[in-house]
Amino acid sequence: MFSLLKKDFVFTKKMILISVIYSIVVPVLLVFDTDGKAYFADFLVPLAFVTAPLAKIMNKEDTKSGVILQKMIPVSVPEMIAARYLFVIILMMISELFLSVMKMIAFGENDILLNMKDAMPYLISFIVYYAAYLMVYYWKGYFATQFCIYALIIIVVLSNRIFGKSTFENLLQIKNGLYIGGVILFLLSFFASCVLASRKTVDSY
Amino acid sequence: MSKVLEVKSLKKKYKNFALKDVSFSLEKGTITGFIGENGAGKTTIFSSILNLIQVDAGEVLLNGKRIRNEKDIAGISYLECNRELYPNVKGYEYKNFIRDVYKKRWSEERYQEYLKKFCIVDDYKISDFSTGMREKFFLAVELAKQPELIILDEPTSGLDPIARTELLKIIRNLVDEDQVTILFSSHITSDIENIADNVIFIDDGEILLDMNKKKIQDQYKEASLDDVLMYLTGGKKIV
Repeated sequence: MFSLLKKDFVFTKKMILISVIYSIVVPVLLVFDTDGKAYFADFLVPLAFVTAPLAKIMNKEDTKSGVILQKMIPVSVPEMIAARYLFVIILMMISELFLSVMKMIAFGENDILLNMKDAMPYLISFIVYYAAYLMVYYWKGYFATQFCIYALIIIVVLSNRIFGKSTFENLLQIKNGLYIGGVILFLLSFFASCVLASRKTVDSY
Repeated sequence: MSKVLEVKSLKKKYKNFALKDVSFSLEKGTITGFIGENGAGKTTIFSSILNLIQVDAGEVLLNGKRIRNEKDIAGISYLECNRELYPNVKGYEYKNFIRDVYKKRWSEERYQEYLKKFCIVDDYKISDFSTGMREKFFLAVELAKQPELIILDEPTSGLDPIARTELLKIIRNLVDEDQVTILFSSHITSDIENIADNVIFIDDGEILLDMNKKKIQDQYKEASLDDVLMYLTGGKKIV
């Protein structure tokens, strides 16, 4: 499993480097562009930081040759899926760490632990988002995952309209339920992905 | 000679194509040329052997053991036609990944030996390799897994004549020097004639010929393989 995880990091190293630069630049730009509204960065940084390397590796592997390789290596499907889910979680944690440091520098929010605690509702929401994203990938392939971002935008806009508050405020209100629900959905998505990936054959390509 | 691979009564039905009760076996240290038109069922048979598709009936045995999951096929290497995988990754990075996954099966010594033999440097991006170099690089990686069987799906397609001849020589030497067993598909009959010990001819999902090359020459009065295949498909009679 760890060899697969290592492969994901090695094969996407350039994209990760670009994501690091992005997570440094975005909070600085937000200081000037959004009257210092730090929480925009909580949304923009993890989304790009995780999506860019993840999409890169999934795009390369969603081919006939990719499926053949995955089916032939002596690694079980749950191990393979676990490696990919772990990749997302680690990227998310790195992005959060960078973001907290950048918020300290750009927004003068000096308590890193408090910064990270404040971002938790966003982080859990993203975990749910990526759980769905990965499941869609193992079900319908890379192309279908491109629609996940539109679904996310629609949900954000609708929740703002329906509840009359910002998404961030809505997330704060359901914080505890969100944490428990997020973990449950993540696990459910993992098991669903295992089933979907084991059913995948080269016939689909 | 011992049997490395046994394929027994494979059946697979698609909308407009079916594998019809395909059976054959491969002996250790031989090259079997698998020949057939596009869509005849070559790749479907390879996919069935490698458990990449669900077959409707039949079984595949590697060294007498039935293939059921990814662990059972660790002893088989497969090089598909026009492999497109991680083009932006450097050769040695891809090799390191395969090495880490195959652990004890992997032989770094063998990998370096084959790189040297094939005159390849793995410090380039895979997309920067020429088609011939790419085939040879992936072949070196597959060989370093120390497989009992190598399946090559049209390895010479897209190669220029010099690269093709060179690759065929490499394949023949692998069997002569290292006693590797190779199943090799092509629709270029001269490739099969040049290097194969046995020939399997498949047409419309059905095996029409499975014979030692020398026996074919004896039985069909020294006719060329092209003529034999024409005769078998009802196109022309061998006089």
